Amino acid sequence: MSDVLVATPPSIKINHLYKSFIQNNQKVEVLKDINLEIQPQTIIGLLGPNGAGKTTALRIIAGILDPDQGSIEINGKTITNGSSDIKKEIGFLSSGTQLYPLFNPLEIFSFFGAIYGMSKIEIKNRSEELIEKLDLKNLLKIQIQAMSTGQKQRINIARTLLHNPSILILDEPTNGLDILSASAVIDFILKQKDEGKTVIYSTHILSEIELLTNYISIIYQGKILITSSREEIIETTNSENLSQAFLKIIKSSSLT
Amino acid sequence: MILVPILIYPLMLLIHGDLIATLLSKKSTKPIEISFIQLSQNKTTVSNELKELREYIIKESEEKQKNTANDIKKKIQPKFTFTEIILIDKQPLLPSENHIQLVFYPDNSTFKKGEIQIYYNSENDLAFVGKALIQASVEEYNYLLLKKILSENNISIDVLNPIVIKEPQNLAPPEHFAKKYGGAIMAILLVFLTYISCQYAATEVMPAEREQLTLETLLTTPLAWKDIIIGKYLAIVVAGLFNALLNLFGMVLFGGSIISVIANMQADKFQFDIPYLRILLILLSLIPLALMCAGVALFLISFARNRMSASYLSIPGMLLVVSPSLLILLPNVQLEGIWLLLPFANITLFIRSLFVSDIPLITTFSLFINVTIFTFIITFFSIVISNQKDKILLGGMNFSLFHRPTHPQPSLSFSEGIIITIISFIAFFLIGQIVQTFQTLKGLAIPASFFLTLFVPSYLFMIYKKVKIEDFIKLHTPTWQQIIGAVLFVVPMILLTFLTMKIFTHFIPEINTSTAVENYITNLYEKNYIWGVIFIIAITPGIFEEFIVRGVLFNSLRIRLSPFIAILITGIIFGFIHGFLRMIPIIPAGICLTWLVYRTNSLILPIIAHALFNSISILITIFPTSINKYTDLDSSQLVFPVIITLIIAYLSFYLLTKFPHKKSNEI
Repeated sequence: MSDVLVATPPSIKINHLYKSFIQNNQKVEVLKDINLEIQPQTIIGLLGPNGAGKTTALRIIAGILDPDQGSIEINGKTITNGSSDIKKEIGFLSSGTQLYPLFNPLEIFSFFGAIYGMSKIEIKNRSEELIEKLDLKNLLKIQIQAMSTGQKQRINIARTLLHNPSILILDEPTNGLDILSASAVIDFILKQKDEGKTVIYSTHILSEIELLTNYISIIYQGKILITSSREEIIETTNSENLSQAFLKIIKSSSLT
Repeated sequence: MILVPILIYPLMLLIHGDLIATLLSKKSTKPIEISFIQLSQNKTTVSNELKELREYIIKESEEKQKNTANDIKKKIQPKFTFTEIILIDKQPLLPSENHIQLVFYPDNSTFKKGEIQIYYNSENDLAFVGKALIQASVEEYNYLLLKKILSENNISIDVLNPIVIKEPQNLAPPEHFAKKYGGAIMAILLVFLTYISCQYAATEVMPAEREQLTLETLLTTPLAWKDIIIGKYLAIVVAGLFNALLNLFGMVLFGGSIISVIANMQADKFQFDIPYLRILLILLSLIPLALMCAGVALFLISFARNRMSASYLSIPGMLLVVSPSLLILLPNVQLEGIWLLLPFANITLFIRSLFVSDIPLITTFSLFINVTIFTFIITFFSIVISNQKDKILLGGMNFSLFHRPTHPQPSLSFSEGIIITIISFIAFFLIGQIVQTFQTLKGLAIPASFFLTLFVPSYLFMIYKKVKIEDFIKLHTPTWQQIIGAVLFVVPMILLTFLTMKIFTHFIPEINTSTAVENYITNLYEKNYIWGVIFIIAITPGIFEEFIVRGVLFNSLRIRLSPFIAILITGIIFGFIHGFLRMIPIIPAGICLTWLVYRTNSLILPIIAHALFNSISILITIFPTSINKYTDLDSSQLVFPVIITLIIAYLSFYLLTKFPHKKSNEI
């Protein structure tokens, strides 16, 4: 609760976001009026069933897609088309952001570091730091295509953090990982919060959210139904735990 | 590791070549046996002529064997063995395919000595050679005999050919041929190979990036989409340039000797003497070539969802690039008119002129300017078209032509629809016969017969089945943009019908497909107003034919059949009801109209298009214009109308598909 009420300017502010795609000549509205404010140094859990619009919302925040309507402010600056400076503040990880299969981790670091405009020394220092933190020492000479899913994901997380972004957008980062690697990833994300990063964590797995954060936003059919603390959500819906509350909220919205 | 194939490959070639040579020689080891047979009942002595002929043939074959200097040719040259002359009264069968029988029938008339029949078996390729040898020898022997007879009678041999034609002499230097065709081959090869390398680079660049899910990773970085596209484009250019350089290197090294073989010259004597300055120009010309090829490749590949669909696009890409450049290199094709507008025709000519230098400097210069402009245009367009981030992220462009719209369930079943259609058609043909026999009935009888036969049976059946006829006709109300689209749709339909008619009358010119209808229309016009004619001939058939064919038949067919087959069958049946002779030109129009129903889910649009189509053809019949003499038009006059029609067709397609009624998108 204390995180939410701090009166600092929000690190991400989303105003009236709309997005629709044309699929098979049909207009599909994916996002309908999304509003969200995220304070610095918090982890927000974005909960929602499959196809709720989580990934599209996160892609727009990360500047990969352009919204139809609405605006996004990141650290006080509005994202416009091709604003490269703001993108340096963001690290984005999803199931769609894979790595080049023929590169080894060191090549990945130098390639993406160069794109982010880092000098060679900066890249070297930063990657050494990440190698130590994520325990990548044994993987440095292996091509990405020869790695297991968990190993790939660790390299991918290192890629996301390489340019030291202040905002981390993680779209189901534990997807396809076993329990051991998943818990390692969650621990690592908690450490990032302590380092002063803002994290948006999207998932459909409730237990992960409970481990990570107290601040939850539920998204369904392109709309944000509720943004509040865990206790408050459980209280307002008169339920025993988060999963029950989640189901109740989604059912009540599909009834109306 | 790379060295291994480089070392092994020549070795393999050597072994392979030797293998082929031994195979060839093995085939020719069996000699061809030529047997000489004299077929006669009375004579017991061998005729002198046959004896002489035999010796002559043996001498010829020995000489041939000696003269073949080439080693490989010697291996292919068959060996012959010759039998003694046999005297029999009945011709024996050919023992095997390795035999040739020369059967001689003696004759006793003043000049004729006899007849020769050759029996051979073409299953053995070499038997052909033997047969040709015999034929040639007999002809020469005949000539010898003639000479002998003429000299016996003291007549000069020149009486046969008072004017002798000598071997024509070609005064052009032998390099000319080599340069002319060699330069063309070089140019076309260079263009083709450069395009292929660009195509493959493009496949690995964009679709692969999408397929291995790294495109999004790239987009999270500060790079703008435009930067990524330009970077990809430059990567393709580099691949094309590298390949073009390698190819050029190979051509300069080996091209000369290959061309001189083509020109039938000694391999060492001829070389492409290209001055250093021109080599520099050729190297520079590779840059626009690579830029253009990369532009086309990137433009095409941005339509591909993944590597597989990118490979499907490689054939149209190659056709797009190579066909204009191939056509421009045909003899006597000038760079004029439409060719001037084709980029790849220009660059091929430019490269050829650099190789051969048989084109004046000023032409080369203007070609260079043309090529530069085209390079800029292609580059710009390909980058602009590929710069559609949303569509490419979602996985390639959407071809709405192949898009399958959801259609409302028609109210009649498959068998019901077919039965009711057959009943209607039978009634239609019967009444049509009655109307034709009673000439006085013409006029309103025609709309009435259409109404009675094509509409009433289905209508009664629908009342019986409690189906609402309004829903069935409308399906979805079209928007006003779609109505404009349907009106424009008539233009490509007319062109298609016109072209099929032209092709049809070209192959079957005797059948005049439309005189009966023409006479009928002009007769009717003399009795009625023009609007009356249009109402009777154009609008009523439009409505009722559409109702039965597109409404009842097509909607029933597509319950069971795939849309493509249903459209095809409906189109053919539509052609069929217009009479057997008029069927073929009508089928394309029928298919177009059926597609219209399928794509827009509205019967009103094809009714409009059909009525308009009929009205235009009636107006053409009543007021003859130059269009009426379609058989006189030659293909070059068709270019401009075809281009205009394609533009109109695109516009109509756009209006029809992009502004659908809201309901037609609901699932």
